[in-house]
Amino acid sequence: MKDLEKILSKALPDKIPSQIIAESGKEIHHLTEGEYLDKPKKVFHKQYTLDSNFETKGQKTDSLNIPEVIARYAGIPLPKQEDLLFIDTETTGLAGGTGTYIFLVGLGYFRKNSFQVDQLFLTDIDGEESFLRELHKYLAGFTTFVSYNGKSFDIPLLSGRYIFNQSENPTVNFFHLDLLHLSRRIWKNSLTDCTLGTIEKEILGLCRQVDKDIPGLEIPQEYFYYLQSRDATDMVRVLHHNYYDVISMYLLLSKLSIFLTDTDSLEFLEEILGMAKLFAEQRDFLAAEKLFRKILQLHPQHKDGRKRLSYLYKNNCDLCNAVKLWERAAEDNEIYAFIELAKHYEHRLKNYETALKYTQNALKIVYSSCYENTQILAELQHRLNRLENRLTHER
Amino acid sequence: MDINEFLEDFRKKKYFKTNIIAHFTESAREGQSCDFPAEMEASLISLLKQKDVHKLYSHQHKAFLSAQKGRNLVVSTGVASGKSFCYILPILNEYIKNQESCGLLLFPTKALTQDQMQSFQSLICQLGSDDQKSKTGIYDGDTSGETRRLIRQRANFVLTNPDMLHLGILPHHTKWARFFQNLKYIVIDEVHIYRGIFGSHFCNVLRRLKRIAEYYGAKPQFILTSATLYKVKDFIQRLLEEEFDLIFENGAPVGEKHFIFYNPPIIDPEMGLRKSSLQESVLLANKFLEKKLQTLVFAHTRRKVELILSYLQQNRKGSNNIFGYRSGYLAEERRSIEKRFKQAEINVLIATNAMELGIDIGSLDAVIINGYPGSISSTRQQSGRAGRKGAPSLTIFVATSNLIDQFFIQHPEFLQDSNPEEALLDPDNPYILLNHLKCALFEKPFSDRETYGDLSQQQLSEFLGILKKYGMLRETGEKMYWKGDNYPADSISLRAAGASGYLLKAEGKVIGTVDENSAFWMVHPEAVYLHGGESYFVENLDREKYIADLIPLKTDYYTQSQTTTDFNLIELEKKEEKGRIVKFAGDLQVISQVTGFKKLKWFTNEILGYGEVDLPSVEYCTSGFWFSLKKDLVEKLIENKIWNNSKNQYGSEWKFIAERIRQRDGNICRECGLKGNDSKKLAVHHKIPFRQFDDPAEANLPDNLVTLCPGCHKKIESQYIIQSGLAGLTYLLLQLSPVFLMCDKTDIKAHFEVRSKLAANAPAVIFYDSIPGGIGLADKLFTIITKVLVKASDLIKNCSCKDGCPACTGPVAEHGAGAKKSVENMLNLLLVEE
Repeated sequence: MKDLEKILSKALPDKIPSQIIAESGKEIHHLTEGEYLDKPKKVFHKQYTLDSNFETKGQKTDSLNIPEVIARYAGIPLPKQEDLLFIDTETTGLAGGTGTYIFLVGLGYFRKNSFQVDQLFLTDIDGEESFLRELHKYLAGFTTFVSYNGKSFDIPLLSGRYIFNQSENPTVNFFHLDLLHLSRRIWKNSLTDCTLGTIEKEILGLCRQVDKDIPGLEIPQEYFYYLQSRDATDMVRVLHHNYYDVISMYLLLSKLSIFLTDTDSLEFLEEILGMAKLFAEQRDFLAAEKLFRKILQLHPQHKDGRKRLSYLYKNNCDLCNAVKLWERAAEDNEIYAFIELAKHYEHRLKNYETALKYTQNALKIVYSSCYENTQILAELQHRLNRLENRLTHER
Repeated sequence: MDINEFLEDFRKKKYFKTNIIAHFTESAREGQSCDFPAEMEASLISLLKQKDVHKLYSHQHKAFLSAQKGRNLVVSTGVASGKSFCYILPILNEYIKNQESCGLLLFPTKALTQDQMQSFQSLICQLGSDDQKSKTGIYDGDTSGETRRLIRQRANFVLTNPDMLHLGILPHHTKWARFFQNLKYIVIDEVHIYRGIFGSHFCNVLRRLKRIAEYYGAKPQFILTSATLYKVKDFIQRLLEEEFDLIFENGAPVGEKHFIFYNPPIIDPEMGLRKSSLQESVLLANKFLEKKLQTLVFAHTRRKVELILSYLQQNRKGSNNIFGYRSGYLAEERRSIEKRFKQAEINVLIATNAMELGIDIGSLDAVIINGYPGSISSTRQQSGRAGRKGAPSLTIFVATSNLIDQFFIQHPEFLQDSNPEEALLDPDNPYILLNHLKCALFEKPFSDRETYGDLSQQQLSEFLGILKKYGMLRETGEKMYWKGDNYPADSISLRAAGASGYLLKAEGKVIGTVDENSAFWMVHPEAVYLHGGESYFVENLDREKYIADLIPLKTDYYTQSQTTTDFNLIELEKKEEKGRIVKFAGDLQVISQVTGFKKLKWFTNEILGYGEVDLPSVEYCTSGFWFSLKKDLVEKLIENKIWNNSKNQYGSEWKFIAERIRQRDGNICRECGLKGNDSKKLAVHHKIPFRQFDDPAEANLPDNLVTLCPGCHKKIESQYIIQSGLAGLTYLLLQLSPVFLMCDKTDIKAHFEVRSKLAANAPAVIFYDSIPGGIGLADKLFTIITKVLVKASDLIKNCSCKDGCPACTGPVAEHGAGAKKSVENMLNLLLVEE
């Protein structure tokens, strides 16, 4: 082996990792409450009930009423709160693939109107099969996963683990509500990023205890260290981290549900705009109109809000209101307004002269802007020619 | 007009007659066909009949039967013999019987995948039922995310390449569970490509594939197709590590085949100068064009393709039946050219060996090979492109003035001797093996009874032990698991070439691409770049955005860049004196730099001037091995006067020129000041050796000449003696080492330096791995160099050539006449133990 090692020296790390000797008395069950679910002690189970510290900012923690718009956005049937299973996993890597193992699953759910969190922890990789078997039991009775980025990470990975162990994959029957997608929809423009950490701080106003928690990136290496040392000190922090993630997801969904049910309580402009866009997309015309109007009440000159509302009207065949908004936007020299008005006067009112006037105004803006949009220019030219033709024919 | 009529006419012409050095004819052979085998499903037979196929060629028949028996099989037949039917028929037959059955089809390039996809899909769609189209899909780097998902869920037949299998499929095999469970056939097309390091990687990818298939309870059969290959059985055995049937025949009808060795005529007898091979190829292509015979012209380099193209297009303004084809053209453009050539809308196509690889362009009448492609098997492959069903065909090999070509044309029997190069690979190269074991471990834990490829349990456990020691493996229970938070396949590339390339932009449009390694010498600023027969001037090379800005510009010249290669020692690992040489091994930094370029006049190749290029050097680190000649060896070489090279022919004017130079220098040796007289004439020396010039007049320019006394002349000339000897030795060793290292010729590189700073300014030969970082090839030479030297000495003694040939010390012109003798003596001296 020495010779081979020498030949391979360039392909190997510079240092041999130092030998870690297993300690005793620091196993997971020594350091935290919980029990093993199997004889070989590979699957550790821990249960929490939501403590009152999480009642922050006047949010209630007892029940959830998910509004229709969320279910429609996620493309799932409207779930009742007892259908929901909040899920978050901790893994040996973020790259995915069959060599990435799941060693901790946190599950949050309602039992008799109170929120409860269970965790399954894998104490060594060779216990994976029974780990998955135990997990399977916990999934029974629920219909809908709630996750943060679980659609592209946690659930495909979990599926892969079941397939890898050649056992029945229980995740296929679940609906899935991924809160990351929803949050992006609403806060993309107002937050620097939409990681769960940022949402916690900026939206939920929570603050994690640094000494109890652990940065996500360090988790795989800490788990490998634990496997060797059997010292679960840092695993307790990982458990806490995972528990906190599940709780955050719950609080986030609760907040979103309240916001989207009772939109009058909203204060921040970007937030209102995000939600308005969400309603408009889900064709909830009334809710969207109400929010866009609220934006214009707060900021009458809000250009994006005005534009979106005008198109909402147009798509809903309320041209009267749309034209009013376009006329206001035309005063601000907004090109889309001129184009829409030109269309309106040409096709609906057959008033070619006014249509020509708006087209010329639009062209003026294109010419005076510093960069040329050739497609718009061509379209406008085309319209101009057509209108001039029509006018000469009329005369 | 057919080829035989053309030939009759051609051989009568006096001009051509004298240039034909040899003419081989392979007589036509009737095809051997068989009825459809009894085991073939009725619906498949009726599908074939619809396609107007009523019988099978004997090799297709054999392949089908062998597959039915559940055997692995390798089909090695000629070009255009209906090879793809050998795997398509068994696959479809199985699919008709079992609609769940799956097949994995591996092609070495994306272009080939596209090509095969079309023919495969058109067949399967005709098998009836609704959504057959979704049963087949290409899964490669260009496939979109949504299509990928659909293919994983539904496709029975997946066409992909080894790189994607390694990087995207195997590490995610649980997403492919359905596919693997039903995997019945694995097809490897053009298997002869997998040689050298690429082949060694690929063999390990196959080992991983088999392991995963087994995990899902599948035992797929392999169907391989290969070009005719020397020792094909050994090669496949090593690659596949399974038993297989070898089908080594061609049942397709073959028309009469002519192969002509054509040497351009001598135009300057005194200088031995021949007419340019390019112009002769153009002349020949024009002849074919006149007679409406469809022709494919092969040229070595991208530039030559463009040169021939633009020569041919001269006086044919707006002709759209002549095209070029090479890497650097956009993919869609290439697909369209392939299609139009197949439909005979294009009469003459000029291509680099990018065309060599099985891409279906139909059959044609004639092939012109401009310049020896570098190996016998390539020559055969290129020639095999000619030949319509049963009709006669013609290949003309046009020799360049390059000495390899001149050697080849003097020894046409080489083409017929079945002595082509052997394809080698070494899947157990420790570096490659270790890396793939990481991937294998990632894909599935190892049990302690498991084996891998042809590795014994003990060998395997030695490697796994190292992974464990370095913290990449966890052993628990009865198994060993991957222990890492990364994705090991990411850091292993199966091929050496880098992925990024430069975009070529002209007038706001992208007209093509150039790979990163070639950009500096092909599209440096002020270069004249040829594309589609048009010349472009390179205005700017943006190295941040990877864009070359070109301006269409008619010039009366083209450019040729000049590159130097230099080495820096990073770390010396080993040093050992051995007889008269000193061996070294260590890490080297290889620096290659484009230093400038020549402007050459079109047609005449006259040098119009030089330009400078200000580009950074391309640098990479790799492992190297080098040996230097000890002082006493060098002295002996000079003292033995073995350099007594035959006199160069300096031209008829030489006497007068030399006299003028002596007068200019006052008849004094410019080195030591010795004065000459009539009885003791001083010598006139070429500062840059005469043979390094294309144009003798340029070599004899006064600036390149200096007067020296015989003593000083000898001293300086001896430098060149060493140089030509070293050059020959380097060439010889580079030819031999791949056999010892089981790698491909392109996997290792060699250089020589007369005064090497790597070896205290002694003359040295330097070898280095061509893959950045190295994979231990050069390092292995450190241990086995004596063996290689002994073999080299044997080879040179047994070689029948006089002054060196491509089979031993290399082309005479490059290394100087007498190089063979120098090398022979060098080897004698350094193999004698003192």
